[in-house]
This record gives sequence, C-alpha cells and structure tokens, in this order.
Amino acid sequence: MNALVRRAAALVPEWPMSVRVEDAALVLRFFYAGLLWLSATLIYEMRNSYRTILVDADKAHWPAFWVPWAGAEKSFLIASVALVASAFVAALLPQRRWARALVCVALWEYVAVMITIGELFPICHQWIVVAFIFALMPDRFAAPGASKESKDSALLLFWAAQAFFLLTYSMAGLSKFLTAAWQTAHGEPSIFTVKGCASMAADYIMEKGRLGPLGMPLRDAGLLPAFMFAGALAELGVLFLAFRARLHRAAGAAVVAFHVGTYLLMGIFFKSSVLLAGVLLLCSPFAPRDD
Amino acid sequence: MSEPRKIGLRAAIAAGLLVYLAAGLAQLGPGDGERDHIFPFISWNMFAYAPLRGPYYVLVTRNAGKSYDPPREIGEAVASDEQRRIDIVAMANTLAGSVADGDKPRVEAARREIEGRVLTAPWSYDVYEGKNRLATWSSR
Repeated sequence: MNALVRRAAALVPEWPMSVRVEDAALVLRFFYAGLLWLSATLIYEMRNSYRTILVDADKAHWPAFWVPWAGAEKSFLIASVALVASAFVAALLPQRRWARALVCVALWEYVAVMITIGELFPICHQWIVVAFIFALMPDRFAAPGASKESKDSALLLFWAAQAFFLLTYSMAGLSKFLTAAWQTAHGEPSIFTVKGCASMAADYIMEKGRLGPLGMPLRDAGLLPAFMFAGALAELGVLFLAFRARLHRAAGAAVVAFHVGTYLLMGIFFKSSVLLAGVLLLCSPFAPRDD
Repeated sequence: MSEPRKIGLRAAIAAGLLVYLAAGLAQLGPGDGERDHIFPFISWNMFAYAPLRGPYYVLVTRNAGKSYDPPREIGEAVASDEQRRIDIVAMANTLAGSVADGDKPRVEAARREIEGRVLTAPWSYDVYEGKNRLATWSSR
C-alpha cells in the first residue's frame, strides 16, 4: 500500500524552488475576477435560455431541489445574483478559504439550476472543478508568516487545478477516439471519415443554421476529417503538458488555439474555457519567469 | 510540509485524476451529452461531439422512376455543393426524427414543408432509421 501511495505521488511533478506562492495567489485573484466577469455577462446572455414551464420536483437535480417552488425565472435570478456576489467577494479576498468555498457552492448551484430549467449547460463545468480544488487550498496561504506547509499545499493544489482542467480535454479526445472505434466496428461513419464529418456538419447546420467560416470550404475539400483527427489528437495529448512546467504557456496557447479552431470549423466558441486557459496556464506560476 | 503529508497530498491528487478519468469512461455510450450525467463534476465529455445518432437514412427518389441521385445517407447528401440539397437533408431529417418519435402532427408539418419549400417535382420518400424503414410516402 505504501509503495502504491509513493508511486501515485511520484506522478505529480516537482517544480523549481524559484516558484513563488505569491504568484499563485495573484493568479487566484485573476481567476475570481474572471469569474465575476463571466457570471455578470451570463445574466444577460442566458436570460432567455430557460424554460418557463413549471419543473417537476422529481426532475430537478438535487442541488436545485427548490427550483420547482421558486419557478424558473426567480431561480435563474437567485442563482445568477448569488454567483456574481460570491465571485465579487472572492475576487476581493482570494486568499480566504471561506470566500473560495462560497464561490464553489454558488457555481455548483448555478449549474444545477441552469441544467434543471434549461439544457445541458457545459460552459461552467471546468470552472466548477477548478473552483472546488481552489476551495481546498489553505486559508491565507500567501500571507506574511504563512507556513511552508500551507505554501506547499497551495502550490500542489494549484497544479492539481491545472491538471484537472487539461484532463477534461484529454478525456474529450479519448472519448472521440473510443467513439470512433466503436462506430467503425459497427459499420457506422465516425467523425474521422468524410461521411461522418458530413453527418455532423448536417447536424450543426440543422441546429444552428451554419458552420464556422472555414467549415464549409474544408468540408467540400474533404479536409474536415483531417482537422478533426488533429484536434482530437491535440486534446488527447494536452494533459501531458501539465507535467512540464516550462510548457504550461504552450499548453494554454494550444487550448486557446483549439477553441479558435473549433469556432472556425464548427461555429461554436467556449469563451469561458478560453478565459480559464489564459488564467490558469498562460499565467501559470510554474512557468519560467520572463523577466 | 512534512514528507509523509506531502506524499499523501500528491497521491490524493494523482488518485483524484485517475478517479475522474475512470468515472468519465464509465459514462461512455448512448446518452452522452444529455441530462443523464452524474451531476455535475463529471461532465467530462463537454467537448466531445455528440455521437452520430441514428443515423437517420433518408432516401429521396423521383416518382418517375429516375432517382434524383442515388439513394444517399444524409451525410453524403449534405456533403454536396448544393445548398438546395442541404435544405432537403435538413428538412428530411426533421421528418425522419418526427417519424421516429411518432409525432404525427410534426411529421405532417415537416412533410408539407419539404413539399412546399424544397421540392418542385413529385417525389417519394423512404425514411429509415438505421436499417429499419419507418415510412414511405409519395408527395403527390
């Protein structure tokens, strides 16, 4: 058992002594300020995205058990305002653990409410995972006189947040390859074939009325499967960049490029993920300092 | 930080990553992308494209006996250059989905839309889901 624990522990990389916990604290403030911006814009963007019909109590996700009684509109407002308020407090006091825990709960509640009264709501899921890990960081870990133990814990957990963020992409890439293998084995077209890409393009056209600006030309040229394959491969491998501190900025740039590419091909854009990649990886405290 | 505690925290992080991965793998399969996720931490496939459902096969054939094109899957049809064919595919897929759902009013609406807005000549439709033929119609 002890050997197993040591082996698991060895998976998490060491980083140079020059890494400063103060830098991690600063990035933490960026994170909550970014969430404040995101949550404020979501109030406007999502204001018409919920169903106005009454929600059955047995269909509400458990963190949103109160939604059937409050109704869709009030639930949306309550969850949105709670998220904005908690993000504001955490942006002011990012080192206070209670503030970070508050954000985690508010974000969880917000997504539960939005899924209950609307559709699948993926844009905050990465933020929930990261907010949960940040809530585990010690209280006032970068304050003067903070113990080395709390500094080390904070840095370890910051790295964990980066790794979990990148893991979501690797899992998405893995799912694409596994799904494609399953489809190929069952005689169905996969997204790595011209026919499968065309089906997916049809699906997007029917749903959104268009592809991205480069989607149609690449589809007509038969190049869409190659881009899909390259994108899935990049997703699959991006987690490994988390283990190399000097590649953290490259990982951030790769994630941003992936999302820009997804927009150009498919016409969908995950701005919340781009923001998160910028904050967590382009500003990574583990990356070599450029001064 | 003491060495055992440091090792413990590192091991917990590594275990957490593996558990997250395993829980995500357990969700692979039909239904992904819908509301049946384990809520909400393990919404891992948020960037996975929806599995190609169906696929609905829609055959569009001319009544006169000559086919407009060889019977096609929607994917092949939409891969052509003609916007008109994309419209046919989009509407025919709505039709196929409505048939599959047993939504008769929607079936009729989709059928009228195809006949009225897209097709200018008589057509017959064979609507498939997978290899099962769901319906056949003549437009006129």
